[in-house]
Amino acid sequence: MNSKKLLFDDVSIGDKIPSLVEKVTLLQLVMYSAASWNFYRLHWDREFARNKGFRDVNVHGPLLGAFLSQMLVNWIGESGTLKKLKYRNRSMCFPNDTLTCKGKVTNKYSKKGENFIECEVWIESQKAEKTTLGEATLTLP
Amino acid sequence: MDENRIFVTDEMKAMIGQEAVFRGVDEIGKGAIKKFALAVGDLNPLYIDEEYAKKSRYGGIIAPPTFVFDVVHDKKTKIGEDGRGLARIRLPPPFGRILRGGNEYEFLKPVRPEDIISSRRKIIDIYEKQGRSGKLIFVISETTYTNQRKEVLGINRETLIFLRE
Repeated sequence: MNSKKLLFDDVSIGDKIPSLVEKVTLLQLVMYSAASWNFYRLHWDREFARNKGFRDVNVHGPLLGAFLSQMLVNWIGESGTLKKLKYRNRSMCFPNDTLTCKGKVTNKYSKKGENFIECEVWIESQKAEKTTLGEATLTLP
Repeated sequence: MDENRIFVTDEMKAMIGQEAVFRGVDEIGKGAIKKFALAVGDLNPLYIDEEYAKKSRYGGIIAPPTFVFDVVHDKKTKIGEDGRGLARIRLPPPFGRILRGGNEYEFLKPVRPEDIISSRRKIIDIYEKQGRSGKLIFVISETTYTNQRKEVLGINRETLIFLRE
């Protein structure tokens, strides 16, 4: 968590968002399946995933969206508000992958009394491959 | 199989505009929020620490932003042998395999433990594209999530890409 209050005036176009590193485990995928009430075997049953032709179970797509929003909320702190997140997963992620969420500020503007920040966000695997691409909009005081 | 065959059949076109409603019954509760936060690995005290959250601008526990979209709130939906919910968007065979083509979340209101969440999913569009290994069918849907007070919590616009199994 960012304990210092982030203000609109503190942010410049081109600023980097502090990254978030996640090492995904099979245990986490089991927990996430249960917590989200999504029991598709592809995410927790290795035999099922291998029979489908994958080398291992797949990381849930929305978990990657959850990581990106976690990175953004950590950055903006409690006084900021996440408004929109758009993302697209380009490749499968697997247990034991180390995923790094990254982002940078692409635009800032004020409209109707609210201060908006737009960012480009993405996730990189340990092979420096961008597995997820996205954009986010948030507001700051 | 003839690669020029038009796969977006009348049956598929008729799905455009179709709506499905999923009704939650129970308050989601602090426990479900905490389990979700722990599963994601997000230990923000707003999600898990009541005393801390009370003193924040939210005045109490809230859920992580994507909780509303990621969790299946209607626990009555049936689950198939492969573990997938049977109420998911499905196309007639041979289009059995699904890739996620992207999500667009709009966060409109923080989700709280006392919320009972229902959703309405509408199919916005279905079209085809030529992929490297054959035709792909794109299905765009928009799901709106509301609580028991009819407040809109969020909207998820999702693209699913169907491939031949």
